[in-house]
Amino acid sequence: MKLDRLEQFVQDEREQFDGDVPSLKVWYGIEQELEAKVEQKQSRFKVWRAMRLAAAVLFLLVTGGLIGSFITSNNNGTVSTQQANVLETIDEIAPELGETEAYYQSQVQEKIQVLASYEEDPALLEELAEIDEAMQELKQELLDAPQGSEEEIINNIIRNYQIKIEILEHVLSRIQAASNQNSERNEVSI
Amino acid sequence: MVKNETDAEDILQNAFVDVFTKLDSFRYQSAVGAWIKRIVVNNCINFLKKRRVYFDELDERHGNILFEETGFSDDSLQLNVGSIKRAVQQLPDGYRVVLSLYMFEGYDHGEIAEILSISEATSKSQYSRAKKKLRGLLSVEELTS
Repeated sequence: MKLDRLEQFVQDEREQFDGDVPSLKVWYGIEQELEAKVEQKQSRFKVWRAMRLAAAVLFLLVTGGLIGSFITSNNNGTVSTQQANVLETIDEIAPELGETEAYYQSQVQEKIQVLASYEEDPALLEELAEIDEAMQELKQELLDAPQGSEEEIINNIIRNYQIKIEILEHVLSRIQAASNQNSERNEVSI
Repeated sequence: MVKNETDAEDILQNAFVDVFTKLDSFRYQSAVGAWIKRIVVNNCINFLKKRRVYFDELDERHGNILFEETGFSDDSLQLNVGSIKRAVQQLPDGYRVVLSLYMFEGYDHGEIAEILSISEATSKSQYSRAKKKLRGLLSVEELTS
């Protein structure tokens, strides 16, 4: 398009139209606003981080709860979630206790099975249940125990197992003796 | 473009904040200067749009009535930077924007159409009306001075 006189003039004198310069406060304002934006970004980042953390904690709680209820339902309710938690924490406090316990428990289980092949004594079972209860109490104590006294409590637990096994052994030997007498008597009668 | 120095400074400030925060989106498709200029221009347009200036429905009254038939010839006008600046300031918003973009900022009608979201034909007709109006204003100033 052909330039008319006005356009030509503007084009020729274009630089003279650019006399106005923004005041310094514009640059100051730009600086301020950019800083504010950076801060805003950072705080948004902080919020985002906090939210992520919260989500992680929630996730752990939910999975923990699910696993806990899973364990509970798997054991037909014999081990409550609380007990499961107790066991978990005990593992943390005294890792070697778990092994010892497993050993003694297998011993106890063996003897109870042998015993079951003879006869069931309600008094004996009651006594064993009492020992189990005392054991549970000891474990709870272990959790609340102040630093340094764990060893004593662990020793108590182990002694409890030993007592349990002693009782079982005693009962077994008595039963076995009785049955031996019976068989002797049978032999005599024969 | 916005007539008011305080507004212009505010817009410039926002525009440069935009420039710095959008730096990572600059794709080297154009010169940095042109890119920054475009951001400033867009900020101006947004500012004017907020003030409800509509570029495609400018009132017809302004362009024609007074000077259409007066037949001022270009040659009779004494052109100088100051009077043109003053006259541009007196143009209605829509005219002033189109005229500034075309005559002073060197955008063509295609670009102006895109910037203002109007058709190229509208840009052309607005520009010619704006120019006519500007001449009228200049001649009035010449007569009264």
